[in-house]
Amino acid sequence: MGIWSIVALGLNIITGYAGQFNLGIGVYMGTGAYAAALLTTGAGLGFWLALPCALAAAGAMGFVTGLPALRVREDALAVLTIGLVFVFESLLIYLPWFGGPVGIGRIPAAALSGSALGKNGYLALVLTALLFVIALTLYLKRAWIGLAWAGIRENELAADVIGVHPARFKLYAFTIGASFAGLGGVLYAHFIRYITPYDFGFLTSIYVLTMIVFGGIGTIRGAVLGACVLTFLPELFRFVQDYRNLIYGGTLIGLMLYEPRGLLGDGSFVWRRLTTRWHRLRTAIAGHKAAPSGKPALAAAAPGVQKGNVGAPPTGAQESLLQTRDLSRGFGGLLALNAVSIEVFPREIFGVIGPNGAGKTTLFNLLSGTLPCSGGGIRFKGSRINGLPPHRIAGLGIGRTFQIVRPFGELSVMDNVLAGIGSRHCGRLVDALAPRGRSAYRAEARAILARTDLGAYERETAANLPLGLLRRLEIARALGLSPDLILLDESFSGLSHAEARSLLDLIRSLRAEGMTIILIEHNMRITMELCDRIAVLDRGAKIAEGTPREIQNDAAVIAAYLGAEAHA
Amino acid sequence: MTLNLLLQQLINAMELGSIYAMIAVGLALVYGVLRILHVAQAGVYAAGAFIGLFLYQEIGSFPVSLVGAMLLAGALGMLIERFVYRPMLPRPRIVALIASVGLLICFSDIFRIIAGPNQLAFELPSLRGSYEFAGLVISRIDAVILIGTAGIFVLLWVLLQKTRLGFEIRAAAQDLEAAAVMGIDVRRCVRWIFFISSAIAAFGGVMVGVLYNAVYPDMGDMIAYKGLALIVIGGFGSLLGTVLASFLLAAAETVLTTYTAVPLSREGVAMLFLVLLVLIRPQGLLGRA
Amino acid sequence: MASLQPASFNCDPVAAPERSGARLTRRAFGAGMLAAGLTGGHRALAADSATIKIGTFGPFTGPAAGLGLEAKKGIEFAVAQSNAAGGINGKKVELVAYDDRGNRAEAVSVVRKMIENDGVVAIVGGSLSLTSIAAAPVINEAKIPMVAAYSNAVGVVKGEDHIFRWASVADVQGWVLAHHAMRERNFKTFAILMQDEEYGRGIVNGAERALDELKGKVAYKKAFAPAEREFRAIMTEIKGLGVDAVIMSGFSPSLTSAARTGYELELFPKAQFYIGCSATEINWYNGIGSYGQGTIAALEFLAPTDHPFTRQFVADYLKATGEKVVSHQAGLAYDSTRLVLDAAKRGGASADAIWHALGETRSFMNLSGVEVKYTELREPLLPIALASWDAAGQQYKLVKFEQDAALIDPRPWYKYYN
Repeated sequence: MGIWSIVALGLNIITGYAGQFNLGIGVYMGTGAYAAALLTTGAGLGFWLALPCALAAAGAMGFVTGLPALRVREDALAVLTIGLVFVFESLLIYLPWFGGPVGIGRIPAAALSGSALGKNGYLALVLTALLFVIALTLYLKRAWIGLAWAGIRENELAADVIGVHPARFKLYAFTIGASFAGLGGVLYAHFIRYITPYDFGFLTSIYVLTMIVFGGIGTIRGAVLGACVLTFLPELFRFVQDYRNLIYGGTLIGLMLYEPRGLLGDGSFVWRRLTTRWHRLRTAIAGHKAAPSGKPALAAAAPGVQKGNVGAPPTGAQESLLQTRDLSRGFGGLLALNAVSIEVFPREIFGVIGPNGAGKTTLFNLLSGTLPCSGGGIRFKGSRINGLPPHRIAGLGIGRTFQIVRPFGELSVMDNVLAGIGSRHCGRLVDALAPRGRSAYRAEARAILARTDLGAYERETAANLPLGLLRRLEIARALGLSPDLILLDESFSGLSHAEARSLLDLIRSLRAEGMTIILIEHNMRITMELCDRIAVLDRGAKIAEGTPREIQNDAAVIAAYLGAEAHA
Repeated sequence: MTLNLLLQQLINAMELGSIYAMIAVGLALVYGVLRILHVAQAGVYAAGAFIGLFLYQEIGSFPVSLVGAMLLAGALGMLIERFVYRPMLPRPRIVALIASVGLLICFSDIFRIIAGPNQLAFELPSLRGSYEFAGLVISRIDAVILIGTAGIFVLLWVLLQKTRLGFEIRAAAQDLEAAAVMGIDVRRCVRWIFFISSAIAAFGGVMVGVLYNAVYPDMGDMIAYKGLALIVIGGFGSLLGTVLASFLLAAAETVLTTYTAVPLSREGVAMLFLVLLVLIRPQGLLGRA
Repeated sequence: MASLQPASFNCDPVAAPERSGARLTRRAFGAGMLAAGLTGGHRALAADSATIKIGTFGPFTGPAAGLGLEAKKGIEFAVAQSNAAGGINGKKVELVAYDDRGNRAEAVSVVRKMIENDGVVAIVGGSLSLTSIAAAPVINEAKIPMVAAYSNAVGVVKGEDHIFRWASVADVQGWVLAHHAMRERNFKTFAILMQDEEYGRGIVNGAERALDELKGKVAYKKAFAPAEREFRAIMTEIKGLGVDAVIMSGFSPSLTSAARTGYELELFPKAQFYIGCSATEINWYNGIGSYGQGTIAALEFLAPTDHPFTRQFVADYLKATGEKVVSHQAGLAYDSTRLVLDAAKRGGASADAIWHALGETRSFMNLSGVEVKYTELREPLLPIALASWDAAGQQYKLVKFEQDAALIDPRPWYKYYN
């Protein structure tokens, strides 16, 4: 049962943390088991020598199977992994050097300094391994890599644009998760001491998946609980042993209907009860601390922001920061963007407006790398960026927000912002493994939260925030990148008057610090008030560009809008 | 290999492909609209076979039993949708998948408890024997399967392209929310989709039961996962792609398992195709990128 | 304490045991004494209790449930029969049965439970090959004797000195079939269909070696996975090749499907279809329908035969279970239980006594009325019943009992398995 917990934790990393549906965990477990078995029986290696080799093999298998997984999306991934596990099982049966359908038997028991570990000794070994894996999982969760995984799981696109390299982190998840599963496999092989290809097939994989879903997907406690319960369940039901499968299936269905987060998942009935009781217990013991203050009124939360500081608009004789030339994007026969050329200078607030469907968001998508362009080029800080993936572009200093907000819902506000900061500093694996609990970057995150008036919500789960705050969170997250250029996509939509004013001030203060801003807006008044220059798009083409005053008087623009406000 | 043999094998492959297609099309329909991987379809397939057998033993008329099985299975499918899948729509997709697997397990066990673990005979004296022409042999059952499948697909095509319901289904498959906003009764569409795909699956189950003269609790097992593979290979949600994939896979399986010594079982071959195809063309044969 | 007594079944204490056999039993005897001494009163208690507890495990649920349940039927019938006749030396026999769901880890755990919690003194029937192989070391370590009834894999018995088999080694079946094909029927060209797992491979191994030796020609050989039912393409191809006979190993669902397809395509009976012992599983009887006439199977027993014991057995079995057909698993499990109970009667009701008596068994009559000898490898020299399927009567008719020791000796096949 400890063995299954370890395997479950491995799957937890791949599916629970990084959100990659892997229905073929048996492959990794089997790789570890077979590797260890072959090494100990065939090559005569000792258990302790075979162990790391087997782990490496499992990890490599995770990596290799992770590669194709990068190309496919969710459902295809699930089916792909099903296919992989069947192929794996088939190969194990048919290729002779795996021992064929009978598998490999008489695997020697693990030995410690010469004498074989008895039942108790092995139990101790498994428990040690389990504790180790739990500790490691906890550590990873708290490290930057865990944040990256959470980001990818919550909203891969958003993670991409704030600089998290999705492919790379997914592969990390696969490799590490596979190694855990492989460890489980090695322990299994030396426990039963006789393995067959049928042990690691699809049923086993589903069994493990059921464990983590049952207990609570994405949680350590869930994985362990699931493993324990599901291993003992058949025992408990032995008295109705004829109906065991029926009960098993029924439990699955019932659980999915009523508690899909798993028995101990975050937010499940049982877990909430347990945590509230725990909190009550804690506060009772510690005495009453001051209850956290309620959400402060908006006005009171805006002390440090200067009003009226517009900052000087850039003079014309500077080198442009961003430059697009004949940028185009087609979808089938439709040209969403048609040879658009714009130039944005440093510390400029540049507006992009136009009727619906004019191609404004498409332009942003091209600029941030979310979509490839069909024609033309983009230069940023002098070098070409068209064709680069979003996380690279983010790394170069462009941040963006989305028209429909994409927060990392399950994460706290602090974590959302940390994600942006983290991707900038901790992209490499080595850095990613550092814990983020006491990191200096938290101070930086706090500063950003203060600027965007989100300081009071630091611990709040992002999904609980109202739209206005979510928009600010998007900006805060993008600020984590410390970008030179920030793209704001309709950030003012849905904001109250007071919120809009705050945001205006924020944008101006950002510019004062040296940032360049491009914004898409529908609100004419704000656009005219805020922007230094504006480009107007209509049906994919740029029909005007200039200062607000010029735009307002442009005949083409007026024609396109047919009744837009003619006054600032 | 003589031409005669080649043609004969082609016929064999087509018969196998028809069976696959029947299951897979139902899966594609469900996936197209609800984005759910309806693994439990295999349970409905087996249920169809059992119901068909039972009805035939009671009534004695095969056509009536067949139709009866299709109708009852269709109802069963609707029940599943109503009580298992509908509550799960707002939840992450993996929830539905696991519930589906749970359903399949339950089905198998229910069959085993009711009908016993051994296979039951489904012999139809009227379908014994075969037709021969031009040196090719088609057994009566195979002919019924081929014709039946063709007929069902024609009906399905007509339904989807020429009727209002079909139009609604296609719209819902494109965008569920938009369709709802446009005034399409999405719930009704979904009910019908489950009814249709379950009925088709039941047809497949009964025919396979007669073909192999075996109705047994686990008969859905391999179909379940092969069906999934087929909708991926065909391109998620593309019915034509799924049908195409079914026949191609049947042909590949036939050739590979009969003539070559690949170190894989028939299922292994199917899954290998799946893996390879996903690598080369992730959107499937006829799916959109 | 084990003592040799003549029993109602032909145990032959007068026949000199082979040297190695004697060594084995003496060594085993000594070990048994040591074990008895070490474990103190535990087994002595079991021997003195009012009932003789024997255990069985197998797949009662899950995909292989058909096999396990059939075996259980045979065992329960044997126990009931024995108890009706007064039990063993006055004690009633009690059966403990556990479901292993066809799962190896489960098998290991239920076997442990049987031995430690229930205190069984012997295990009968065994389970599928894979589960039995997994459980064997545990059973052996606990020094409980087991007679495995329907697993044909060498690995179950080899190296575990408390495990006996009451079934043929798979390879023997193939060997016998091929010899019949070539020597009795003069077939020259063959097609081979092999179920790709231990049992299936074993049968084909035996057949191929025979064909090799007798200079037969294999024109076509294909492997398939255990649950396979689609054989049309393969049968079409075989028909095109025009072979004399087809030898196939597999479980009954595959055998049945292949047979039906072959007869439908009229490949059979022009060519002869040979199959292994799974031919008498329930699935064949349920599934073959009106096809299959003339298929020859290599069986480990045949019921009914003309032997009076067999006829009585079939009648009693029908009365007790309502089953007309004695399936493969039921018959073998029945015989294995009878054997164990007979050993208990001869030797005593403790685990060691039974084990010792089993080892001393020189000959035992199976339910077909044929005498079976045990070899020192704890494998029986089981005569193979070659039987032909009669579609009209829906039963197998005896062709002959192959008792030629050169053909049915299981010992030469051990060298192929580690």
